[in-house]
Amino acid sequence: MEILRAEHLTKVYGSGNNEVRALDDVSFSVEKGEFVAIVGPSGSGKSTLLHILGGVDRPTSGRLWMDGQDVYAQSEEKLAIFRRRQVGLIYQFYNLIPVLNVVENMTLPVLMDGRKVNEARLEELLTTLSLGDRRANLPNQLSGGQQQRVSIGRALMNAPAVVLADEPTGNLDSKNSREIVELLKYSNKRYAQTLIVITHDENIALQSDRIITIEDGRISGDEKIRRADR
Amino acid sequence: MNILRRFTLRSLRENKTRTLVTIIGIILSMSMFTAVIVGAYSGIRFLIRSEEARSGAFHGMYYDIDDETAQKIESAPELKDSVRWQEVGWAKIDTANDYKPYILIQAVGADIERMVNIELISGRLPENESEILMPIHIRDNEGPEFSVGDVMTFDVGRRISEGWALNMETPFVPEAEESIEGAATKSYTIVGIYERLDRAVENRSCPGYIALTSGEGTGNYGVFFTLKNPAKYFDFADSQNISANLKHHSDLLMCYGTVQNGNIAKVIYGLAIILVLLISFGSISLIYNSFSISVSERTKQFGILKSVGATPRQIRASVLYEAFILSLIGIPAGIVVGCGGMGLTLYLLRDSFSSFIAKGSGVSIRLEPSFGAIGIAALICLITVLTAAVIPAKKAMKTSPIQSIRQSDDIKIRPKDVRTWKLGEKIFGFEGMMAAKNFKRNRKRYRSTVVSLFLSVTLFIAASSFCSYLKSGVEAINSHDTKADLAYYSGVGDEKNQNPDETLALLASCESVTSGSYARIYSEFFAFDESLYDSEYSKIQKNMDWNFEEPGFYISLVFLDDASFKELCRENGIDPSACLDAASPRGLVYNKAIFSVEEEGGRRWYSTKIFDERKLPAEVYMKVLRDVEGYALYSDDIDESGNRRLCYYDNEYYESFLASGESPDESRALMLSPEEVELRIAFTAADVIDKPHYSQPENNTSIFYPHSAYAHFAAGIESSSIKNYSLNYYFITKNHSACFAEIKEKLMEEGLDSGPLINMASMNESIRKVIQIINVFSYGFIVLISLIAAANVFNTISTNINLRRREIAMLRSCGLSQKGFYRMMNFECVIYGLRGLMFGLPASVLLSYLIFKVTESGYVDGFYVPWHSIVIASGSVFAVVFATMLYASAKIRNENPIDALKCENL
Repeated sequence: MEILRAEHLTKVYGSGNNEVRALDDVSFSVEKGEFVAIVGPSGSGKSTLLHILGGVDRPTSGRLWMDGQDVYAQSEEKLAIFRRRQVGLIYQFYNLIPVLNVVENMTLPVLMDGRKVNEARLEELLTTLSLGDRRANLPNQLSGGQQQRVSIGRALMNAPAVVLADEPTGNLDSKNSREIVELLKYSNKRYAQTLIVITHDENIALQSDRIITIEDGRISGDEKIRRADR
Repeated sequence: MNILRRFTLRSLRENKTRTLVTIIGIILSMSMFTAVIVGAYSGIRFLIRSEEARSGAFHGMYYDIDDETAQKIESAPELKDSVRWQEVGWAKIDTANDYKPYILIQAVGADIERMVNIELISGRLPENESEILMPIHIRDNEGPEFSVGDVMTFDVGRRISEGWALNMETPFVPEAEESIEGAATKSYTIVGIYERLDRAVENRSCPGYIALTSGEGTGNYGVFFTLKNPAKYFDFADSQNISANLKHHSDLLMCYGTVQNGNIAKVIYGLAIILVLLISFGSISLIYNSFSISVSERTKQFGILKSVGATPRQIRASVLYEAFILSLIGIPAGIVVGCGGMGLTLYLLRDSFSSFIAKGSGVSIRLEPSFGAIGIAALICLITVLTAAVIPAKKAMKTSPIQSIRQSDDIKIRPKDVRTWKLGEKIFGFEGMMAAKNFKRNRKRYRSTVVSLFLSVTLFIAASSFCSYLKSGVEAINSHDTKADLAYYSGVGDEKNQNPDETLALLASCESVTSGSYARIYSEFFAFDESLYDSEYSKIQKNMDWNFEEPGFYISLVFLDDASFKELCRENGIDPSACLDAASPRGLVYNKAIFSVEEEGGRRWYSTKIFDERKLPAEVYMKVLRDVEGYALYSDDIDESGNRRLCYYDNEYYESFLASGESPDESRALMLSPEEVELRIAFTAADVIDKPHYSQPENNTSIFYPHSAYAHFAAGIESSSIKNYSLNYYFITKNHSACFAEIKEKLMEEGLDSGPLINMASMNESIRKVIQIINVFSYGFIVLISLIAAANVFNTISTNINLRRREIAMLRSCGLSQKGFYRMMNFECVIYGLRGLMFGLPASVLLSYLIFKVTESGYVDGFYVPWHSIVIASGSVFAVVFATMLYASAKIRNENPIDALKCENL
């Protein structure tokens, strides 16, 4: 089942001589439960693509369909609700709210939606993410790996249609990196969570189902990986 | 609790300094709103109370109405209270006032005092029909003598003219036929004497002196009433259809703002609105800044919130919630501070207010916090805060989440934006260059600081100019009076006055006299060469409508007693010996004049020097008329051919035709041309003094000579028409009223006329009180505005530095030394200050000029650049900026650079 389809996505920054085409006519689609890695050199447009997929940055032209809905045809208000329910974003620099504790940061999208927190899921995630004894801590009391786990928890809390991760291990040591990747893979399998990850790390890319390569704002490669364990 | 609210509350708690400064800002604004609005309200209430105490609480009075009408009025639902009196009748009495030939007796109850102020001089109110309370002005108008306990008998009847009964509003016309009819003789025991009823009851043309008895009368009624809503007074009056017999208590209604013209409430509220607007301006900029910084600081957090699905509405709600929480603390605190401050101010000024508005009524101004007024103030403040909070948040709502997270707006700069001046780099070094680049880079953020500096400077200078113009306006009225407390004008011819030193010593021996002096003063036209003109006077003189026959000016010549003269010299740092030289005495010049000239668009006031001081000493000539022996001057005219002719008559005939009131027989006139009678007496205008002696007003050019020099000029003066000018004594005292009484007594003991002894201090007192009140309020206002401004700047700069912690840490990790860091910060301060002043000073001078233009028609010293406040403002700007930088950078200095670098929440 197709969960996401990008049609001719283009993003242009600046104008005239300064014009930079960060994305140039990018089209592809993603199946539900797929684990996609997006790779490419710096400045190739990976992050721009991811932000557009996450509904946090508008494309200059082109369309994005998610779960059968034209994402950017919605009002700002609806778009916010879309982000809160359908997308989980994980950033390289965690982007946690410094004045909220671990549990509050994780449950932020649910709380803003005005819904009740699914305690069972929260407990399960806290255990899975090894944050059980850290639940009342503020972000500045956590290590980098722990902060990133909180942001993964935040992304997964709502069981969104797609989880998007922008270099989730870029700021972490190798031990923490491995743990984060294992967590992402685990969520992909355990919840059949669709996952799109931007990475520089070939090892991570090779653990995915599909690798999309971007160069100069265009897709230059898209290969499915067949592995024994799938 | 909603997660966003929790987030807001935590953010407030985390950023204690900013939260505190914002709350202080709200408290300041609210307290100013409260002070202005509650102050205006208290002022109006005070006017109302003192008017009620002075004349009575009634809003209106129906007179000469019958019982039925009176009942109808009394039962009107709009009425709050009413009291009746009934006419007993009119009786003829004999007084010096031809238009007041009657006594009008009205029967009142004890309740009359609810409506009308009865000011007893002695005795009490009447309690039965045979007792009477008499008004003092009968006695003052040379009417019959009486005192408490006397029995008086009147023939009391109706006042009838051509069959019509006349009432108290019908003036007495001596030529018209009118009489008292149906008179009955009545005897009354006088139980008290009271001051004439206020003119709102017994007006100037009322033909009867109103006396009050008790019980019932026989004539028509008068109904005094108050309304539940005095603002609806005229609606009520119209609805009653008997307006012909209605007297309005205008002085009181005016205070409620319910009189068609001239309306104190509107003026006071109008002023209050202007102040509220000024304060709103300051407050919005202060609160706006603190929110705009808090928002830009939290842009990233808003971005994160948005990226996990916060809607714009939720973000706005969060900002409004923050504003609301801050208001919840700030507004009540502001009300307390504002009421407290205004209460204290009014308490300290209560005597000044009472002495010039509610003299002797025992009413004093006090804080009257009306919930309505405070509610309005709170509402204005809340709206101000919410507006200030939402505007900057709008921007944060619009940007896309990722832009907010990256704060890419803040980094959007082009190289030419941060290009700096190469020479500046050489002079000020690396740190100077960094400071300039920093300033240029963060234009937007820095603009808010510069704007708040600009506003502060402008508001401060404009407010102080406004106050100083206002004050100079009031003082100008004062400048026409001498500064002496008491003056005694006596004829030079008085025998006892032959030795003024003795008289002065006698009069000045009073205990509270601090300084006494005497002077001969001649205010005449002085002719002098045009080359002596001060350049400004020379300009004004060309447009003057005064027809001078030759160049010169009106100057007061003052022969001051030698002791005072020496004192005057000492005060002005001048050696008196040259002036005291009996052979060739010289005069001191007070070289300033304030006068008005009729110009296009109205009368305009000028304040100028008269003499070009570089050309002094110089000869000036007093132009007077020669005394023509045996003749008196009758007229000084221009005849048909345009020549000036002076017409004299011999003394005997002059007296006789003046006494008979006839026109003189022109054939007996002695006609002389000016040349024949003109006398010029030469004086020397030498050293210039800055302050005149207290015998002279400050608006008047004067020349001072020692009295001992009078002999030198006596021949000239005594052969002229001014020889009989009086010799005046002036006193400065510690307690003018006690001293006045004491000197009066001394004069009487000596057999001198005490009539010309005048208490000027008591005349000037109310003006001084007004100035004092203006001073207190304007300084209060300026201090508060300055506080708002300082809070503003502090808030902006300290958060700015906080936002740059990471960057500063980076510079320090690259080896920026402590000293270099401070140098950089100091350069930034200088740039801030200069920028703020660069825009602020011209704007404030312009604004001052506009204020000058507005007040010009009143009275003004001419436009002046307010250097005084400019210096204060500039000094304070740098002081505040440097202090803030010091505070903020001291906080950063102790930080480990790497911590700040790693801190990603900035």
